[in-house]
Amino acid sequence: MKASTNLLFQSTSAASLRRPWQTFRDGQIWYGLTTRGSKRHPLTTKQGNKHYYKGTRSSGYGKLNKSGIYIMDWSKVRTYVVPPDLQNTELKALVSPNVPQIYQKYVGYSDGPKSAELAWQNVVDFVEHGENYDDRDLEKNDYLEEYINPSKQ
Amino acid sequence: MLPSVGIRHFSRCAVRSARLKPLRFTDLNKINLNQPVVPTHKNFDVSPDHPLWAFFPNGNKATSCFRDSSEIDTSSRPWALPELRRKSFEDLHKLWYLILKERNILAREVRLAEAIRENNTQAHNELDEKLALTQKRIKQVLLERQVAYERAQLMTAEQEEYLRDFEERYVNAEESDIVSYNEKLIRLQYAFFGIEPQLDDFDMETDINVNFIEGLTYIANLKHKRYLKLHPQTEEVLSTPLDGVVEALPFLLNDTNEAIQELKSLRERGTETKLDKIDVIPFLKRTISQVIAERNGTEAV
Repeated sequence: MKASTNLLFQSTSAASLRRPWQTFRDGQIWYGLTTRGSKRHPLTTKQGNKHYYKGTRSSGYGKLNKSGIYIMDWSKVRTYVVPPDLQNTELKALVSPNVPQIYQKYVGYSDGPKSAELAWQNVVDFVEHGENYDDRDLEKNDYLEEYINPSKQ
Repeated sequence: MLPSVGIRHFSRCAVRSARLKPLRFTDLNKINLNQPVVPTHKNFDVSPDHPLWAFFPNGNKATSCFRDSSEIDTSSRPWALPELRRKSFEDLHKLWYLILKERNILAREVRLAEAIRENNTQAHNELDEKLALTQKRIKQVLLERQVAYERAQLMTAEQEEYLRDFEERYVNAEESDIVSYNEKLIRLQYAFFGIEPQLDDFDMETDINVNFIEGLTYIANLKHKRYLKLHPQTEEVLSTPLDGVVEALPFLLNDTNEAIQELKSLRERGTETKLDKIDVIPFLKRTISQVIAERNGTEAV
């Protein structure tokens, strides 16, 4: 009789029933590739039995009416809004390493760029002075951009 | 009944009979053979504006389909948050799509590298991480703006105070300042009530709403009050305050003098100008689209 290996000897009978006992002929375990590591992941489209249909969340853009004609619901169809003058823009996807780093400082505002007082101040400045009202020279200011709350000075 | 002959039997017959026929060629000297076409991309013409060129680094000037790690830009840095905060929404939108295109190129190259067993894609992946970081920061900036915007909506006391203050300044403004005050008013109506500066930019489905009516009433009252202030001895027909959108709309569409004339004729005719609440938005949509059509028609002529 063949002696049981050390590993199997240590596992309980319940544990050995619980684990996938079936193997392929070449000894590979029935599902997955290893017996170790995390296993409880969401199923992919390639897993599950013949009734398992995962889908791609890409259907349901309409309905069949009773005469069998598919009525599209265009409000459910995904649209990608690409900016019209993308070809002519001077923006680049990356920044040159020679461009100096800008720093921003929010003084007297409760939550930095998310504070309501700053947004309100920007609206008032826009109404009073128009677009691009901020003409501070960053270079002179050592690339530090300070937003100071005027009501708390 | 069908004869019990298997299909396989038939097919075997057909194959055998085909084989039994003697092979015959036509006169070999008469056959013209073309030069064989080597299967390489250089032997095929591709339209230079084919959309799939967007998946190559230099577009249709690309000479190879895979960049080595030496050809990849490793020194540039991703956009920083303070830089992105200074950009407008349009710029961020463009930047997002530029990055997306760049990432598509990289993803294609990495996928190709898998296929041709080229293992050195570390530079590609590092560049992709930089680009993804910029995309995350763009989202962060937009989120910050949205949060700030929603919080500022709650500052109603400040908003009302500012609107009251602006009204006072506008009504009492000197004749020399009124041009700049009119520009301010156009920006104010855009920032506070979402009223576009140009009539043609109006989106009839979404822009005509409760906020629009509020703004319209504010602007009309403002201009009407200023007119009364400048002309203290006006007839009584004009001096009563504006009532309803029918009287207010001319002040948005025309300049003040024309609007005053229209108001005068409206009131002298004595027609009922008060609308039911349910009729207000349909009336505005109808009238504004008529005016847009008229103006475009006259401009075209």
